[in-house]
This record gives sequence, structure tokens and C-alpha cells, in this order.
Amino acid sequence: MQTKTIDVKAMAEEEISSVSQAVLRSGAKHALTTSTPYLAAVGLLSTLAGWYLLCEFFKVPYFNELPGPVAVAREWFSRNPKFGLSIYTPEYYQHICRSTWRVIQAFLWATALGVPLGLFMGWEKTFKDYTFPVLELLRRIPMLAWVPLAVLMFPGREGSVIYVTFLGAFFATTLNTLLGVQSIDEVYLRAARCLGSSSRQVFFRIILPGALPFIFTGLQISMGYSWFCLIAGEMIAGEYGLGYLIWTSYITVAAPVLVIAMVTLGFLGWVSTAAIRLIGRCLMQWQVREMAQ
Amino acid sequence: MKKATLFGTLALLLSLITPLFISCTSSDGQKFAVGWQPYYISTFQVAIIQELGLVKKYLPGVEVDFQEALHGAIHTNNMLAGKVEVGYMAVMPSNIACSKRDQADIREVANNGVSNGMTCALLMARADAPDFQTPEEAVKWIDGKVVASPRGSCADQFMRMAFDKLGVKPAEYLNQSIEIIQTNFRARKLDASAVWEPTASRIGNLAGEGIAKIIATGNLIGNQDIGMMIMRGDFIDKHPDLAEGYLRAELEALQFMTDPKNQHKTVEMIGKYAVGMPKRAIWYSLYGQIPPQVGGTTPKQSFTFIIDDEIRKNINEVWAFQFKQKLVATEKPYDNTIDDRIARKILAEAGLKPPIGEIKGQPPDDNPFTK
Repeated sequence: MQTKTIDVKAMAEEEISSVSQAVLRSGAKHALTTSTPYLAAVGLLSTLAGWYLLCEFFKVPYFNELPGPVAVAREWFSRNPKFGLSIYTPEYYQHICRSTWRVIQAFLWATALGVPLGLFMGWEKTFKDYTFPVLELLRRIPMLAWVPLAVLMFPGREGSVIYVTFLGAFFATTLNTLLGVQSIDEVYLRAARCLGSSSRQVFFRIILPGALPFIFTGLQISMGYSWFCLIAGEMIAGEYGLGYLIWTSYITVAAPVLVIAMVTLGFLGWVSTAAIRLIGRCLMQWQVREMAQ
Repeated sequence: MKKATLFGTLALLLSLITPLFISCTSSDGQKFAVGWQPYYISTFQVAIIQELGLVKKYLPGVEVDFQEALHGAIHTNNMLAGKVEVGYMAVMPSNIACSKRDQADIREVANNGVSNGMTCALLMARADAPDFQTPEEAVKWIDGKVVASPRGSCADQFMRMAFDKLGVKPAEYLNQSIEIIQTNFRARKLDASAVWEPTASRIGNLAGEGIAKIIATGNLIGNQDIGMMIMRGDFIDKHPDLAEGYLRAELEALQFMTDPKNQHKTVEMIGKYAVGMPKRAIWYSLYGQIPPQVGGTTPKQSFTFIIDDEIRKNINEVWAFQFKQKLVATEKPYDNTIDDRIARKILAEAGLKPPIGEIKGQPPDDNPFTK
């Protein structure tokens, strides 16, 4: 008689994958049947309309000094832009790529350092007592204040830019991770210890998965902060980057280019944060299923 | 839910219309604002105007708000927004300000200093750079090096023109603010930079920290440094008496500054506003000689007050250069971009002819300040 070897693990992974895809598909389909995406579109269009009415149509005092959406769009989609930057110029994409790469590096460093630090601070009270006051002190220092020290501390130029960008993301990640660990019900830890779990098992089976929702919330916030702090960091850049573009547009009074850079930055921040949210949903299927029930 | 939506909508509308109710100080006939830069040599006379009380003398009963900034672009934006009526800056940023006719009519009304590249186009190299025989050799050295200057400034103008005329191509040309440039010199991350006075004297080896040294000036490519006073057109047209009064104060301040017996007092006055700038460096930036071997000439600065033909030619040349760089929208200045009628009238009434003063440049040993 032949016995069949059943790969339980593979079957479970396949089921989880198909459930994940079904959950995502049903989630997307469900979203379209609700009013949320339509209201979001109405909100965005209303903001655009308000901007146009204030700046270009009614030319309300003070708002008439700002470039309106038509002026910005004219520059943004021009083959021969007045200020030398549009979707048809390669420099626009050079700025985007340089900024995106800097944010990715800063974010990865913030995650690599912030998550373990937050986990350890949450797990070991003594370590937290040593480190928390220092963290709280450093967290309050504005990014701009770090710029001169960043230039002196790092040998190259990119290091200084990435460091300033990293700082905002790092604190958000660390604190949210710490909160995640602290949010775990003490009962789980006691139960695990009663059942004879080792410290390693408690960490990987309870602390880490328990803190994951907060970690991912922190990662979303820290991605936003990375884009935010990029502006301060790219003061040092000197050549490419959306933050650099904002500074030089301000100095050369190229207001439409300034708005183009701001909107592009906002869009990239939105997309990157949404990507992290999606990754988080995929990794925390147990939470998605719980919410669906 | 409906109440929350209503509340949210009201909050959004309120946040949008609040700026309309915030008072924006502007000229109402008895008050106007002047934007100047305590850390830029071509506006040093504003410190003298304030210290000598020249506003009270020529504009009795008028309140003048002197606003300080680290560079001209801040005043450009403030002038375009109607928050400042009078501004001081070099030709490059003043041309940009005057080119934005769709936003505001801004005009170049007076000159406050002309130099053969010794006030705003000083090419500094790191302290351990080689000693060059000529300025040409020095500029050729920056080929393939990391160079920086502040974007849209007179120093930026000089560097771009120098690259163009001399066929020099640095490895990287960075546009960084003057504070970042100073820090980069300290951190030895920069090979060269074009900066203006008094920063050049502050970081240089003639009267300063010695973290950099002057290797060439704008004289190398015939690039003149010109300080401009600009004014909003509506201010000139509606309040010509205020514009005239302020220009009279400016003339007296320039005459005071260029009088050799007032050197010590001038530096003391400037030192009160350029906080943190050593007086030794302030003196050297104004009165110190730039060595001939790096392109220094005599006089160091001359003050025409009016915008004469040579300055007009320079303004037009810089404008054309900026048009190529897409920094201004038109090929030439507007017809009334240069409007020095009031300055000419004041000079004629005083029986003066340009230059109204000159600064020759003295050797380092003449510096009366030790720090």
C-alpha cells in the first residue's frame, strides 16, 4: 500500500495565500460599493475647484499672489516650460528618483534600528528607564537644527541628507514599536510563562506578533515623516531632489515649480504610505480576518 | 454624523478665509518696510541709516520697519507679496524681482556700490589648495572639483559666467546656502566656492578663520558686483515723497561710510546688526585690500548712487544671461525696470556728480580690530 505524503505546511501556505487574495479582492470590490472612494474623489475635486476659484477666478486678495491650478498645470504639462521643469524634462524625474532613493534609505535605516530598539525598550524595563529620557529629549529637536551638525558628522554629502531624513522616521518607528509592546495584555505573557515558554519563545510568539499592528502604524507614520524631513535634509543636497527643488524655486521665485514639487512630494508620500499599509495587511492576515468577522 | 460633517466643513472654510483678516503691514503713507541683509556688504549702510537716525531726519513722523534676512530672495518674495516696499540686493536677485510683472511692478532705483568682483564674486578655495600664480590658473584648477555657491545670487551669476567663458567644468556644482557652504569648508567637503563679503573675510586667511582663501575675483571675467536698491512701483507712484526721503537717507549713509575718518564708527555700527560677525572681518570686507595677485584692483568699491550707462549695460547683460537660464521670462528688462529719476534729482540738487564716494582698499596691517 502506498502512503501519500501530505505537505501540511505547503497546503496551509496555499490556503493562506488564496484567502489573502480573496480578502484583498473582496476588500477592493467592497470598497467600490461604499461611498468612501467617491467621497474621496469629491473631496479632491472640491479642493482643486476651491484653489482655482480663490487664486484664478475670483482672485481673492492674498490668494491672488499664489499660482493657481491652471498656471501650475500649464507649466507641469508644457513641452517648453517657462521655468525649465515639466513632465517632459528629464530633470523632473532625476529629482524624483534622487528623493525617493534618499527616503527609502532613511526609512530602511529607521526601521532596522527603530523596531529592535522599540521592542527591546518595551520588553526590558531597565533598558527603557535608561533610554527613554534620552529619546524624548532628542525627539523634540527640530530637523532643521540638526542640519549643521549633520554636515560636520558625516564624511560625504548624501550621508548628511539621509541622516536628517532618517531622524524623523526613527523616532516615530521606535515609539510606536514601544507602544505596541506595552499594549500586549500582561495575561498572555503570564500564561506563556506558566506553560513553560522560554524568553525567546515569548519574544517571537507573543511580543513580536502582538506589537506588529503598532509597528506597521509606526512605519506608515515614519514614511510620512521621512518625506517631511527630506525638505530639511535636501537643503544640504545642492543638486537634485524635490526638497532642493522647493528651496531653489523659492529663491528664484518660480512659484509654479514650487507647487509642482510640493504636489509631487505629497503624491509620492501618499503612495509610499499606502504601500506600507498594503504590506502590513498582507503580513497580518489574522488581524484582517478578525476585522472581517 | 451630519453635525460632524457640518462642523468639519465650517472649520475648513474658516481656515481658508482666516488669512484675509490677518493684517499685512504695508505702506499706508506713514509706514513702510525696508528689507535688508546685515550679512551682505552692499547693505551695510542700512545699519548707518538706523544708527544715525536718518529716517527721523528725512522722514519725520514716518515709521520705517527694517526687516533683516540672510539673503535677498526672502525680500524678493516679501516685496512681491506687498509686505516690503524697499529692498536691497545684488543685480541677479533684483532682476528676478523686477521680472515678475504679473505679480508686482518692482523697479531698480539706485546703486549702492560697484566693484570689480571684490564684494560679491570672490572665489574661495579650501585652505590647503595650491598657491596659484594667476587667477586664471586658479579657476582652471576648479575643473573637476566640487564647487558650490548660493543659487540665484551674485556669486552664482559669477560662477556660471566663469564656467561659460573659461570652459571650466567642475565635477559637481552645488547650490547651497551660504551657511551650509561655510560648514562644508569647515568639514573639508568643498574644494571651492563663490561667496560674498563679509563671509569671504570671515572664513578667509586675510582677516578670518583661515578655513579658505581667495583665489580669484569677478575681475577675471569682467564681472562687476553691483548692489541695487529696488522699490515697488506703486510705492514710488503713490508716495514719491517717502521714496525721496529714504533715498536722501541712503545718500548720506553712503557718504558717511566712504569717509575714511568714519571707518571705526561704521564697523561698530554694522557690528550691532551683523551679530556674530567679527569686527575684524567686517572692517576687512569693507576697507581691506584684495591682493592684486588674485585679481584685486583699486578702488575696491565706488558708489555712483544713480544707475549710469555702465551699470545699465551690466543689468542688461545679466538679464540676458538669466533669460538663457530660464530665471527671467523676457529677453530684456521692461521699459521702466530701471527708474533712477528720484536718485538723479537728489544728486543734482546736492550738486554732486557720481561717484559720490570710493573705498580704496588698505593692507591687512591697517586693520584696527584684533577680533
